[in-house]
Amino acid sequence: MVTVNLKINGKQYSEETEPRMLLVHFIRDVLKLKGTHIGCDTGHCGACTILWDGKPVKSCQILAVQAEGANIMTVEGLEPEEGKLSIEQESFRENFAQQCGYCTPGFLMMTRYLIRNNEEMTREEIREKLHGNYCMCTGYQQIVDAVQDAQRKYFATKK
Amino acid sequence: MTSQKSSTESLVLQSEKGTKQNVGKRVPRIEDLRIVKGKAGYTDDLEMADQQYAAFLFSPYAHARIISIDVSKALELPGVSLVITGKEIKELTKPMSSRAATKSPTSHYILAVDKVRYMGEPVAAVVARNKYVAADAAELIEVEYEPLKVVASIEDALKKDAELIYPELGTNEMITDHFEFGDVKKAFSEADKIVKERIRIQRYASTPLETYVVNAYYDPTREELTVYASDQQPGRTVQSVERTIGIPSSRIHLIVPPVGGGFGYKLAIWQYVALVSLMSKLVGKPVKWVQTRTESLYAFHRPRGFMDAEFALRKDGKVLGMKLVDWQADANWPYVAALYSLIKFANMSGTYEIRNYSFEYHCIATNDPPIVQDRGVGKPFMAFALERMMDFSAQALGIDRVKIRQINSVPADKMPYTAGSGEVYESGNYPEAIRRALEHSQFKKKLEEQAKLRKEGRYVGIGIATAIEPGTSNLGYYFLSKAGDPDYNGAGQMATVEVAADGIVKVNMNGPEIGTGHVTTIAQVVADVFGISTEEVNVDAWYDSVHGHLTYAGTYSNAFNDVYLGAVMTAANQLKDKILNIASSLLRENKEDLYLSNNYICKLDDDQEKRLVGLKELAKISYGRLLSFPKGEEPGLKVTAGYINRTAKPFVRSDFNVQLTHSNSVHVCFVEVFPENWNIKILDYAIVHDAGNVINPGIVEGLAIGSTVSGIGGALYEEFVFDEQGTNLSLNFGEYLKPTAMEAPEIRVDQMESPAPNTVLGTKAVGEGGAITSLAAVAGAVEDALKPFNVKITGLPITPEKIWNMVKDTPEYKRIKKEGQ
Amino acid sequence: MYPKSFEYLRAKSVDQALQYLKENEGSRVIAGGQSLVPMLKSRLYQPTVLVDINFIPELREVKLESNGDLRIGAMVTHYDVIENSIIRENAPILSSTAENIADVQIRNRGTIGGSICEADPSADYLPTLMALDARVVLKTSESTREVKVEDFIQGPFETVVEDGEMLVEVMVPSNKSNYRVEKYARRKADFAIASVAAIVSLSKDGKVTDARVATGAQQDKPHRLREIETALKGKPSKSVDLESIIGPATEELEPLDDLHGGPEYRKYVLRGMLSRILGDLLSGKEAR
Ligand SMILES: Cc1cc2nc3c(=O)[nH]c(=O)nc-3n(C[C@H](O)[C@H](O)[C@H](O)COP(=O)(O)OP(=O)(O)OC[C@H]3O[C@@H](n4cnc5c(N)ncnc54)[C@H](O)[C@@H]3O)c2cc1C
Ligand code: FES
Ligand code: FES
Repeated sequence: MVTVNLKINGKQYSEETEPRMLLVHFIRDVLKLKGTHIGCDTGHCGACTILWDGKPVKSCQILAVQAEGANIMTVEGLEPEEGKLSIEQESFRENFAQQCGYCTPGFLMMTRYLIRNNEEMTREEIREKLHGNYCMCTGYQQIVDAVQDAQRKYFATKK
Repeated sequence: MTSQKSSTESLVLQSEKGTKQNVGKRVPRIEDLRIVKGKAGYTDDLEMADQQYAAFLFSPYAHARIISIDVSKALELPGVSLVITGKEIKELTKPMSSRAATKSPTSHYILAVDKVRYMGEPVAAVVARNKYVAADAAELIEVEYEPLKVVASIEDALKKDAELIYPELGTNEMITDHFEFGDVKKAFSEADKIVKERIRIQRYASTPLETYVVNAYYDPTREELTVYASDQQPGRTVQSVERTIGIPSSRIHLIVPPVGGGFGYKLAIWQYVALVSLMSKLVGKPVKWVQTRTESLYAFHRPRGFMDAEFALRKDGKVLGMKLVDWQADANWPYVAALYSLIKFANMSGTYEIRNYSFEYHCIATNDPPIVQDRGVGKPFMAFALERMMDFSAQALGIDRVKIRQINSVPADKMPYTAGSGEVYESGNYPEAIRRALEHSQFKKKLEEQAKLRKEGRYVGIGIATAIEPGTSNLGYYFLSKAGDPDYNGAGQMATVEVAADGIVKVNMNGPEIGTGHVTTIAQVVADVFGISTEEVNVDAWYDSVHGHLTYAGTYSNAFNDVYLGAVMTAANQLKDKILNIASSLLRENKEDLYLSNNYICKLDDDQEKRLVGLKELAKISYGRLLSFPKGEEPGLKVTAGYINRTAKPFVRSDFNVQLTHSNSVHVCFVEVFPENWNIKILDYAIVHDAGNVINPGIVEGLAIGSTVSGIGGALYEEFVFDEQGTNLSLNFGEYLKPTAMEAPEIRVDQMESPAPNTVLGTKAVGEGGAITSLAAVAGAVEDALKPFNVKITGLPITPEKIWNMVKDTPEYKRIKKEGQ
Repeated sequence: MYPKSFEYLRAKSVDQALQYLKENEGSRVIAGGQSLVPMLKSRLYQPTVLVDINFIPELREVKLESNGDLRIGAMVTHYDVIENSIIRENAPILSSTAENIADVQIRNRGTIGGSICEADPSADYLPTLMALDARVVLKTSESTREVKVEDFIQGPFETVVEDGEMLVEVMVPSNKSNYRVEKYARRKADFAIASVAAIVSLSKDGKVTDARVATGAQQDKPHRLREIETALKGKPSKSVDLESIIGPATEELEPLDDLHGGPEYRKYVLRGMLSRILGDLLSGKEAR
């Protein structure tokens, strides 16, 4: 057993884990943050996407012990305050960007990153940047709508 | 604000006086409030006290005898509490029986007994204190197999000395049947031209992002099983668990939290519900199993097969008759055997007026893994075959492919239309849908563009396809395949509506929520009944067997719009009626003068809305102040009601309907094929979709787009590939290619609304249309792009490599290669 | 999909990592983990000890030597290869190559050292690094050696790395010439069906002064197409008959055969790509 110290959504955690435990299992099963999902075994689907020092990574592709000292954000950290949706969450809801919602947390984390780190993106660019996230339900169109909308809203807050 | 006053007698929502408040609006989804916070609460998000975990060992062979299994090392591992194999299963459980098939094997159990019949069949199971240890234990189980001859194809299965998948049935040809309607012989004798083709379909599947998850606890003190599962058809699961592991259905408490995508895949989870439940009973602790992606790709796909189609044509393009012979690798495990074929059969003539046809089908057992009723079941392949044949017929006659579709479409004035087989199309306007599709897709402009680009040496093409999208299966096909009177048929649902003690309107639709917006849709319709806003209706997204359910309850076959809404509306209207009765006697007002609006019982006073009593107050009285409660009414404000769509005809072999509503759509696809690698790019995609009345356009459009992209996956990317030993080579998303946001095109949807006369709200099916219609639209477009090469597309997926193999010996290919130099 | 147990050692310096590798037989380096973790999950790899080199700052550095060579630390991520201004300026083809790899998330974590050591015949960096004549620096606790990337890769998933040895740096000679780097795959994150990295310099009067062409996803390992290079060098770019060069130069290839593409098709795609890419480069078209 190894102790891992890390920060998730602004909160410091210190927990024991076996070295072999995947970060996504650590987040879900040890820290009980159930919003990060698992959709594959091979790093393809992006359901497990989290932000690590602000950048998206796939938490099923990392061992929990490797997250020592990391600063992580999961979907549970998006809400700016209790009961208020973030720009990304709001845009996803307004644009019908989810059906079963299993992929949604991964897409939301990507959106949080993309809209803040890119100039205004075209639909094609958005599609290109999201190809590491699978959605089996929506056919992606309303997700692209939501990301565009979120970026518009984000830029409006900057003005 | 206008108030709403509706008739309590009729199920139909709006009376003339009333105004729609919520129905028909793009109301943001209620379920999304939880989803976007990561708090949807899927099955895997729940844990029980002292939770244990299961793992399975799956067969690496497609066909083998199990010589021995040594579990001793696994049992020695600390943290392991149970290892079971076929030996125990044979003692403790009953074999699985087939649903649709006339014959049922007696040797197929929920865990392999003595023999494995497909790669990925569970052979042994363990329970341990966590997932990692469970995986360690499964790895330590030693199995000795003796490989058997693999039946790797339909052709293999039919050979004289073929290995039998089920020796006790004496054949691999499990079911075969022949139907004929009209005068096929005459049609063919009068034909100006006969077109014949063998059309193929590959194995592919919908792969919901959430896999199977089961969490079971058998409580020995209450002798009751509580089980959570990502299950689409819980009614059926309860029955199967009872039949296989012997727990009486009244002692099975099955709960389905929100499901991370269903698409039919989760109709087959019952096998694992039975296994995990049994394991919990054996260890006396809650046991959870979370299927991995690899495991989920082993089995439960659409079957592969082919259809020999023959069309009798008149010069002008009229289809006089057709003969269809369908061959399908129904894999082993015949419980869904025949279903695909019979569902093809029910949709055979599509949107066309074809009166004379025959249908013959052969369901063949092979070592392919089991199949499941994947999105649209047999309809996508049927529509693919039919629409390809329309294109081939047009080519053979030298007429336009749009025209041949127009000529043969069921005319609008013949609606409702009874197809040759007896299927009743309740409403729709197919010629108008084609007309609108031509306009919506800018078909003419596309043709001009194509002509221009072709001159520049570019290969662009347009494909058009039309199809019906049936909804609500009454499961009538069981009558066609099973002897006697099947115990399993009809279309219905139960639902509960209540005004809780705190005055909140609550609904339990009691069916799995698989992502198709049921919660919001129900909130919209119930809100209108009670004259409140959507957010004020509390719809439970969980299925829970304690609320009562019908045997075949589940979210499948596009039944929601019909029987779920029917049950909810029945219960809501009964409750409303009850509320008005209570209010009328409490207030000493005429019941006819009262109506519900904004959580008040109101009446009109000089055309002004007057609030008489709040729903909250009325709830207090109905639940608590029983002394002042009116006589003649029961206390409490809760109604559970059942609903059956009774418009199905009785079953007669020569004339019957299987589905009760029929949406339709026309897809127009515009593609370019690039000769450098023969890659295909979809440049534009336009859909006209008619699904009757639309309750929430945001949801309906999303389903139309999503189902279309799933079909595009099948048309261009997805295939489970097996080698000659039956080894599945497509066990991860790097080998089994799903479309990503980069492959999915921008899709333009134009919605038509031909209300269904036989559903409560005039709605029809919306979940499958894209998956059904898109295959042929894409194939037609690619073939059209490749017209200079004169190739014929009769199978899927259309990959660049396959195109290269088709074109590389053609004169056009030689010409462009020469020019390129 | 749950890895088997192993011991985990977190190295804080290169020396410590090398010490760990030396002391523990059956140990394996974990870099970005983007190839390794899936193998651990499926238990295809069952190492007894994992040595984590993520906590070694010096492996994340990018330096420009006075001779124009770039020294790229093994742990520089695909993302950094795209964004790092020293790399972008001095070996732009390498940055463009990294853009072709996997997806945003994997590029944030996967490393150049890991990708090279994985030696996937279809991986994106290898043809580019071969075209650039890049070398890798390998270290054990006792010794250091430099190996050309071309010699480093032995076959599919096979390299010259020995027990106790680790890749610490990639040495990339600066090269700002006109280039193209492309992969063809069904979907962007898929491994290539065919890939090409090509660098061509033209003199003012249009003569080919340098040509480097490498390909991946064809044979069991990526390699330079030297026959093409020789045929181009010194020729006036206008008078080159590409088809007559590409055909014979690719004749002997024995491409991979799997679900993504058969050998004949891969060769077809490669030829098409070569012909277009080299055509562009010879006509002096700048990279987009
Ligand atoms: C979904 C997906 C798509 C992908 N698509 C592409 C693609 O399109 N193109 C592409 O090129 N790649 C692709 N990859 C692979 C990706 O680029 C990996 O990041 C890379 O191959 C491995 O780098 P890593 O740092 O993650 O190494 P790791 O996974 O940590 O290590 C890989 C191997 O190298 C060894 N190793 C690592 N570093 C060293 C070292 N310094 N010294 C000695 N041995 C070492 C490890 O022991 C291991 O065996 C994809 C991966 C995934 C999961
Ligand atoms: S679960 Fe992490 S990428 Fe699929
Ligand atoms: S909404 Fe179901 S997977 Fe995306």
